[in-house]
Amino acid sequence: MSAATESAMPKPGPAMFKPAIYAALGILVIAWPSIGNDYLTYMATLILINVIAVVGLNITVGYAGLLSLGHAAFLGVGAYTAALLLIAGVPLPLTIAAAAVTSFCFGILFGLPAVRIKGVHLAISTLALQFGFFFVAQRWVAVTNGDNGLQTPQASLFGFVFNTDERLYFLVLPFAVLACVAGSNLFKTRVGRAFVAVRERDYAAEVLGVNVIWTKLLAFAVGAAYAGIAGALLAIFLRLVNPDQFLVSVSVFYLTAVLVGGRGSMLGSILGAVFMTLLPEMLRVGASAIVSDVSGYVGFLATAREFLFGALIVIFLHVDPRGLVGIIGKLGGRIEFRG
Amino acid sequence: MGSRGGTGVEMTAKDDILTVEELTLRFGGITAISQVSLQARRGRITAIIGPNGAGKTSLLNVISGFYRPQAGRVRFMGEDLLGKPAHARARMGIARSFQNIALFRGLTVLENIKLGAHSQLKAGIFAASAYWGPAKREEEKLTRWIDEKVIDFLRLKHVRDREIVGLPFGTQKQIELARSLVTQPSLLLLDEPFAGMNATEKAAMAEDIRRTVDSLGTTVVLIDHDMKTLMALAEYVYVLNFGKLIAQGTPAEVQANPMVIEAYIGAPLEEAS
Amino acid sequence: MALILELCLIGIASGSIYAIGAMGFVLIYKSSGIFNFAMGEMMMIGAYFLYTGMVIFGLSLYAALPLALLASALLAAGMERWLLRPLLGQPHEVMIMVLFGAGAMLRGIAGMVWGHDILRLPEILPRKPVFIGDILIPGTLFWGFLMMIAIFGGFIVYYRFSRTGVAIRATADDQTTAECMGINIRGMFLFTWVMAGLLATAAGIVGASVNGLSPYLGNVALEVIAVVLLAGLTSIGGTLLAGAIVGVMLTLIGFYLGGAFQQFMPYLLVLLVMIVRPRGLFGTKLVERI
Repeated sequence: MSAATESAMPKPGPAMFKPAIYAALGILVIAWPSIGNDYLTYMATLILINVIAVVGLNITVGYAGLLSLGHAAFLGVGAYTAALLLIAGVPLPLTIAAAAVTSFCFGILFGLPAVRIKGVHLAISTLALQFGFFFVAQRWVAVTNGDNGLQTPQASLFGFVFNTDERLYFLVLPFAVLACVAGSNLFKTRVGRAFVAVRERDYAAEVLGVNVIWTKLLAFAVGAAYAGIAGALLAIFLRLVNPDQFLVSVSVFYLTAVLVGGRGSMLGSILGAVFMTLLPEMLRVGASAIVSDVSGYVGFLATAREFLFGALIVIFLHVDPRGLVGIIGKLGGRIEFRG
Repeated sequence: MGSRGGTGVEMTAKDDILTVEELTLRFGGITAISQVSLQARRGRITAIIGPNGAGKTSLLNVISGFYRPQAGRVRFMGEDLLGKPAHARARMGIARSFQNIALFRGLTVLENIKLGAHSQLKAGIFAASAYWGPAKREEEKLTRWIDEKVIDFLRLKHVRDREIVGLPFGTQKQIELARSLVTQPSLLLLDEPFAGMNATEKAAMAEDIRRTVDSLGTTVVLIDHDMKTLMALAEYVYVLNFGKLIAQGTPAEVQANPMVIEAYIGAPLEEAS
Repeated sequence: MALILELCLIGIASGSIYAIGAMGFVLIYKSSGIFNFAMGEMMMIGAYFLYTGMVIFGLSLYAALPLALLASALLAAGMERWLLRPLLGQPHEVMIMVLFGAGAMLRGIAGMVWGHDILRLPEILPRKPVFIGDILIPGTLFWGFLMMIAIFGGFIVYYRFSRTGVAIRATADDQTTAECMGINIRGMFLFTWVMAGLLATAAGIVGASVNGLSPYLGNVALEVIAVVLLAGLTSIGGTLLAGAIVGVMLTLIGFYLGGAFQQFMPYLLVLLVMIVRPRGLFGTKLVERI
């Protein structure tokens, strides 16, 4: 019962440290490209894109308690939407907005039949989407160019071309910041409270006037919209979109990030995205320390990665369901986790 | 089923905020509620008592919209309730509590209470994400209102910003009541509000319910096993047994009714609880 | 006409493979309310166990099959004991995520140990086509079908009449009462997992004999899930009919519209069942107590 009494205590919250930490973090994030080399900037951009996707999945899975096993498919929908629009010459802001809207609509489409029933049905529906998406992306060659994928033109805004890693970094950064701010704002209002309420006891939420089905649908589709934005940025960043970028293993990746970081926590989403983006890199570096030429082991590494992601899901759910946020909280003697 | 006021007592429709007519609910072969009719008068406390399995909670579940009955009607302020989803009934002004506490552990006490105002607030997904302008203002206004009117009313100031986990049982029940009150209900359904409480907590809860009715004019329908507290609190009592209405009347009338005593295995009422 | 009949028979035969996998699903779901998202991977791993015994260690079928079944039983038991039991009482989404993670682990293990190439199991089922009148059915499919039917029949008899079968059904109907009657609930969970593991392996082996073996064999889970949903989550017997329906549907669509659509179908079917009849053909509608 010690944990229970502990969390019942009012939070001491060293409020004055927070602005200082945020300020330091802000300076670091803005100065990052000038500190690091191209590789570090590249990795940081990837992390930021993943932060957006993980925040989205955390809203769906962590806050609203809805299972999505097909988050990668929503990124894929966003990425293909963005790639097709960019190729067609649509302006950048419109492209990203369209990607978000399209993914949102897919979220509604695939959530609608499932949220009426049971949690497991949504999981099944997302799995169906995951396989269905891959299938369409691969086979609908006329639009998606099949396995070869789509080459995305360089993105530009008012004549400013995003052609260096540094510029791309600063394109992605505001989106990542907005994603985190908007995500945490949600939970100051009725919308976010309703998400948590349907996660815990949907019948009790219902008698408080919460339309449970609509709320679940919204939480699911909002998560999808975040993924859509992340997917669009990924298409712009990598300049290439193909079906292999959005496999089941990528969905496993994002789910792992949420669980490793911490369900129902914005800080957790960020930590999870950082950790999970760096993990394959560490794996690659580790492997190249053992064997000089990694190129022959690409397939092996890919499966080792999937094994590792799966193992992390299992381990974190068993050992620390609150993820890294929980671990840090314990180390710091403070608990920021809610739920 | 055109006739109203089948109990013989002449009552006008205006006085009855809730009317249940000839209600029958079956689960497969089991009849949980059989042809039950009852009324709840505006601004009064109506109790429904009966032994375990009498169909009390099932009845509340029909009224709040979780179960769909096979026959009968439920009207609330003259409007037909059946066919409306549960959340719509909440918006019409029906609030309820649950037998086992239904608070949200992922939210603080204040946030739990705020949930009661869900349908009065307007912020949509974009306004909420921006948390700017009206969305922020309505949230701050709500916080002030809860602080002034509800938190003080139910003496919850000392736990306002805590997590739910670890709070005493009685306090959790109070929070649930507070949350129901924030919905500003015309009709409050309480499912065993005294269950699992000690004598002090029971007295405090009874007092809170009484004050709610007196100062806010809320109509209360409650069910419980605890006859003693109910008899002192309720103005009108219905007795259910095996899904059937076996008696009704003022607490004194019901207490003297031999069928009621029979239903409680012949034991004196006080001990039967 | 003969062609349609032939396609239907082929469909029914391949549907029986899904049906056996689906039976494992339903068994676990009925007894513990857990939806096993690692079922496809359990099928895949079971087939790899047999492959390892026969090809890598050069054992005969009669030695390798019991060993493969034993290994799958141990794996399933281990999953129940170490993955799920510590999480009993947690929200269902936690269970599903753990199993989804376990599925990823199994896929990873298969890829690391056996590689990504499509392997061929040794000929355990005769390949020689079988003629029923004018109708030709591929040998592996025909004999696989007979095997599946035998397993299905055996299992149903076991489930209906044996002491353990009755205990499983009692647990599925009402856990508390079953516990009061002296049934060991935890033992029951473990046992249903072992049974499901064995069923998965049988389905996996036949599936791999027909279609080849790779880490992606587990993707057949979606076909299996389609069968489960169509049967209605809780109907053990219904899986056979649902399996036949799905199998025939896929085969006919594959033949007339092309393999592309065949792969697309299970996913449409899953959504369709959810929209049109969420409780499936034979599922019961459960009232949730509040």
